[in-house]
Amino acid sequence: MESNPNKLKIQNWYGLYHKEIFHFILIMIGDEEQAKDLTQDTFIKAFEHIDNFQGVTSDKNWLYKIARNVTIDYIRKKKPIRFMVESFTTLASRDNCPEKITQLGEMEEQLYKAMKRIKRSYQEVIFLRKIKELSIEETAEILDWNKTKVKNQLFRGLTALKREMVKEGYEYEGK
Amino acid sequence: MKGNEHYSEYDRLFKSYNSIEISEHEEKEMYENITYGIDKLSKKKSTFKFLSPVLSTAVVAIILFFGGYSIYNHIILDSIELNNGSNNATSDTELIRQKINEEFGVSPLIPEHDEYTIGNVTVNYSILNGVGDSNDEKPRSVEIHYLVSTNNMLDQNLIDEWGSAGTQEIIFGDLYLDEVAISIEVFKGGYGEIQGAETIEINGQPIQYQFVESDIDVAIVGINFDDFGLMIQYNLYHGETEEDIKSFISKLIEKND
Repeated sequence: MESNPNKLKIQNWYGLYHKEIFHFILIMIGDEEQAKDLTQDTFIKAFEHIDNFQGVTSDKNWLYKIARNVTIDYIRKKKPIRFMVESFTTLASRDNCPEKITQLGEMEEQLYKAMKRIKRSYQEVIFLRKIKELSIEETAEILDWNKTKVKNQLFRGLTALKREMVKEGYEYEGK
Repeated sequence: MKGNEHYSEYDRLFKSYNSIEISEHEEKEMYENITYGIDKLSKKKSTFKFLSPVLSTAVVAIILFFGGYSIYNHIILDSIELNNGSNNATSDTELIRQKINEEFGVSPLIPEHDEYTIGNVTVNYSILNGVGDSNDEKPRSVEIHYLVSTNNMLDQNLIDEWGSAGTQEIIFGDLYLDEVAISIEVFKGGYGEIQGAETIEINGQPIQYQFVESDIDVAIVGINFDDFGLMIQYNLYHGETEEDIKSFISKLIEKND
């Protein structure tokens, strides 16, 4: 008989949100095995700090925040220099594409590769607003930004992404 | 309306990422690892609560004991050695070579750097080390960090937090907040491949080399030796040139040839 209510809560959250958290981490780091590890870390960390969870944000947004911190910590610990370079620009392994994304199709792969060429902050805001379709308020809460910054970064991010797609040779058929 | 159509095509693509699948097996594996991690954490918490006063006393005793030992060993013995005019101390690089060999089974010999100090050497494990069936997991790689300075040592809380992940273990030096100038990661067998890097030769040895221009330029280098490979990230903090990097790599090759 399970008696730890916090453990039950985490197990319940896992059932509800593990896919979203895994998608977020996978898009950010591009390594499937590592994304699974960090997804696990996110839920274990949530358990560790659940007593501090005041319920001010939604449980999903709180998990996103933890996932973001876990991912950034991982990049920092793994490669302190690489993290810094990635924060501004692109990186050596940018052409690697996870199998789960290549399976979606050529266009999805092309878009992912273009995403890896833009700043991390652009990737984050595009993921939350365009892929997960979170509201501006929710996105601002997760990223600890104000709403104006979310709008500006999204606009700049999409512009940068479009530029990278054109560089990749992408041409929209309806053009 | 071309722009709108363009964006709606992008929107369709963005949404398709939501269909990235996780297999049932992967879901189950993650769930089990999370449950195991939570149980382990719960056990640790309750043990720690019980042991806390005992541990505090033990830590104070250890500090007192080793403090005395350290004074004897480092101050008194060193001064005797200096007075005798002898210096048998093993160099850091040789010590590091021995430590890496003990922990990882290969013996890379790394050069000293004129400007940067070797801050620490860590053994890297998979993030799942100690979780589930992965208790006996072997080290994945070893990482050597040359630091710009060694002024800001991590405080104990941060050291504990760093260690709690269980993915890295320090085998030489200390942890600092100072910037990492050069990082050398050692892999058994070989380092793999650096995507998009060019192959050049230094001292007749083919290496992969990539130079990334940014606010602070970075060179990424891959070299394979007989039984290990090295992946190096060299960060150009002090206006060094690519020639400086190649000269460092050349020393590295000479030492391991």
